[in-house]
Amino acid sequence: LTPHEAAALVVNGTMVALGGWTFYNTPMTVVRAAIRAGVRDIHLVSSPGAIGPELLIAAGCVKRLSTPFLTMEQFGLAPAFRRAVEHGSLEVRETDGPALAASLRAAADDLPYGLIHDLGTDLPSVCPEYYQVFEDPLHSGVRLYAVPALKADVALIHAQRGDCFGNLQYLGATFFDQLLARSARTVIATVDELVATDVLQQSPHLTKVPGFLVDAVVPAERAAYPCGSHGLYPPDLVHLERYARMASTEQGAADYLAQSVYAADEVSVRDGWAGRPR
Amino acid sequence: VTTFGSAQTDSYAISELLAVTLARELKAEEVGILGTRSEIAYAACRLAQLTHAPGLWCVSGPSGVVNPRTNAILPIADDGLFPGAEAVLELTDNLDLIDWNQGCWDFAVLGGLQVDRFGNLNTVVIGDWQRPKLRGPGAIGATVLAAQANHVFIVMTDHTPRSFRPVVDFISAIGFGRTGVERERLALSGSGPRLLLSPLGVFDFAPDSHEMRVRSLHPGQTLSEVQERTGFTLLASSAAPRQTEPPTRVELELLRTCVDVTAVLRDASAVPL
Repeated sequence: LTPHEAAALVVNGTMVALGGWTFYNTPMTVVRAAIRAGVRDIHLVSSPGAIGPELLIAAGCVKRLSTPFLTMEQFGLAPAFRRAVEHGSLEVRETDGPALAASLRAAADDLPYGLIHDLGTDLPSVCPEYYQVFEDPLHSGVRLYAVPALKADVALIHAQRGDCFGNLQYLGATFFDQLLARSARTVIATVDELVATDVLQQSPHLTKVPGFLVDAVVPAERAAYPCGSHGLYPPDLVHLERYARMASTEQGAADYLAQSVYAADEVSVRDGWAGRPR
Repeated sequence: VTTFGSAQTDSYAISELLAVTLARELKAEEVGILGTRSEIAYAACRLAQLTHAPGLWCVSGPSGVVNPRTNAILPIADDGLFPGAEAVLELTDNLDLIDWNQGCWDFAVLGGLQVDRFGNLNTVVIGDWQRPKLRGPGAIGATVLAAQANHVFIVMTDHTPRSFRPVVDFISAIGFGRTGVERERLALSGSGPRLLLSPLGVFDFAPDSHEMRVRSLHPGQTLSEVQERTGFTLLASSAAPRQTEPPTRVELELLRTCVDVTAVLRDASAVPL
């Protein structure tokens, strides 16, 4: 599919899961396409993220957010996320690592909830509907919470290589992507390279997500840009720092979106920043 | 860059001091897990492996890379850590060890926007959760590592009354809880924070009350100044606490030539959370 066609599968008001990890393997090409398509009111279930969830929040696509971590790493706190939460315009489902993992596993296993240990934090007290005290029928004496399954309508993930059957090869870490692919109803993957199946057949152990779990492949050169793609290219730190700086004001975030998402085609996004010729 | 000492060979950045101090605490055969923003912790693990603890295990939570051996400090999720490492675990498998298993990790290294006198950490919000003054990055896996890793090292890159609070605004990673004795009530498997390293000193937690106390102050710091920059009363055994042992020439040399060739630790802007 084209990024535009893929974005049409992201429906207003649905649950959308995002893969990768902070500055790595975020399916940015489809994130930008979804923003251009004007997606609204999604429940974003995000892997620990950076500019991916940031842009969706800045563009007003997100109604509710479930993520364990959202940061611009060495460039500071995530500015659009900060602003939205501090202004009360974003509903946050406070999610730690175990809760996300248990919720996704429960969805992948078609169970209504997953179990996690009581870790003595304040998360259950601010989100009691998400962290339910578990009355253990086996009376193990272990303090547990049940967290409801998060079955995303669409998962957006990124792999380095894929073929026309949806087989996805990872040349580095997979992060939460395999769990997202197993748990979501529809799985859309951006790939940096669309290759023939016989290329994948030379190294089938790199195919970490088999094609039968994938509904659509969106090939695009440097599809994770400005994030890096493990094994292929590093994140563009100049771009990411510039975003973090611009987005520290609402106007700056709007300017960034105007220049680098709405008014831009994908080639100019990748090539236009910092005057870098390809 | 904050440096101490007169000649260049004797001077070191505060992050280098913290990395060396943490390295000395790490033991061979221990298994450690590192998360995001772990520059000091990664340097400490590498330095320990190159000196007294070659058998130390160092695992990246995000990417699953085991024992990276780079001579430069990279973000812990970066694939630049893969060449020369011993394994890359799939996160979807490693989740069992990170999020549920109670015996795997000997230590974790954690930080936060706020810490309190019982070593509770906050990376979620400053102010009220419903309408925060400042929204932080979130709780991530620190919730479970704080509860279940055998012991926890805390590295705070800011030591001010703003970050060292009597009580944190939100407990995202438990130290000893709001009363100081919560871990027993909750039957947590880990033993809690062992040490806290800040730009001003090294702190531990009293055996019974679990209140933070001064173990050593970094060269040039006085107890009264450190107390003034701490939002609660620190326990101290004497008016003139020990001084943190500065890095030896050998440690500094190893750190700069084999661990941190790109001088991340000397670039002060690279360290804050």
